[in-house]
Amino acid sequence: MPVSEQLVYENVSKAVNISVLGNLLFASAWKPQFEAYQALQDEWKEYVTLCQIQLQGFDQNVVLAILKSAKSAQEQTSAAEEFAALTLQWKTERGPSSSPSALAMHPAYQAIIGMGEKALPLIFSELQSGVDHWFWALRAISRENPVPPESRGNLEEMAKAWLKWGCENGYAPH
Amino acid sequence: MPLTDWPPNFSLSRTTLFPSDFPHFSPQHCESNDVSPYDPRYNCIAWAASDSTRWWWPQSVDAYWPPGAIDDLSIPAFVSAFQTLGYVICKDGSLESGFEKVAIYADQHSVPTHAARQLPLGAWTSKFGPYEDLEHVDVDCIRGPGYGTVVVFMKRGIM
Repeated sequence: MPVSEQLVYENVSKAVNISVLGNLLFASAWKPQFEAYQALQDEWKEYVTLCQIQLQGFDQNVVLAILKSAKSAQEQTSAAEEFAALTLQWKTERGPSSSPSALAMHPAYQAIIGMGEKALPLIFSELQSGVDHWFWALRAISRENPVPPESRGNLEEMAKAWLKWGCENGYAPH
Repeated sequence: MPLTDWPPNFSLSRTTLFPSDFPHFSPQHCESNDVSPYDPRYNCIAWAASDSTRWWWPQSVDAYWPPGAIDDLSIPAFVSAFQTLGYVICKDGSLESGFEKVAIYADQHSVPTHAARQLPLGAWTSKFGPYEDLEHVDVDCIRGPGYGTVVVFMKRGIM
């Protein structure tokens, strides 16, 4: 039975700390579901002794949805940390070149492109806090270019066009 | 007054490649302590063209290049870009009353890398890619692996 997003988050709030939810399955009789998430076992082992949550009140489907949500959140946190480190490296090492291709060929910038779609929300967040040369990466990842020709080179206008595209495609907040 | 140390806000001077990119550039070549804020919105070519709103570069969908200018990564293309602003080629970077000048730099393969603009008293101003711009006493002090050397001087009458 499909689980509504609202129900999932209501149950997340009951659980207090999403990081302990793995132990719900670990300690439960829902072995098949636990095995489905066994890849996460190592990361959650440390929480086993901390688990104080009882299974009462939780629906199996809800817990599974929460686990998926937890896994996704964990991946997003990891991506954000990787992105922040690469961005800092790029900004401090990119050198004095004026060539857009030279700026984009920096290994850290290429690594950000290599992160693929999960980098898009992070790039849009950067663009919202201040313009910079993110457009090559946005084009490379999205295979789109919403910047009108008359705005080329004007980073403020380019950022505006990209943020509009990001909102329309669910990568940037409205 | 010439500086004895890099301006603290000149972030390019703290990058590891700076000494090797600009081996002839030292704090003594800085004309003043005035350094613009770090600003990735415009680059050296734009700054030389007195435009602090856009990033200028040929053959790029992410940059502005003047309509009518040659659109390739060559010295004639950069010359043509400044020609659209009324500049003509001149013989050197000496201070000439009634004129303002720009210097175009290129690397050993004749690929343009940089442009600087002469200030009214004869010093020059350069923007270092996305980093700050600052004044330097002459065009030669920033020659080296980073920008190569000056290949063309251009001038136009002061409007």
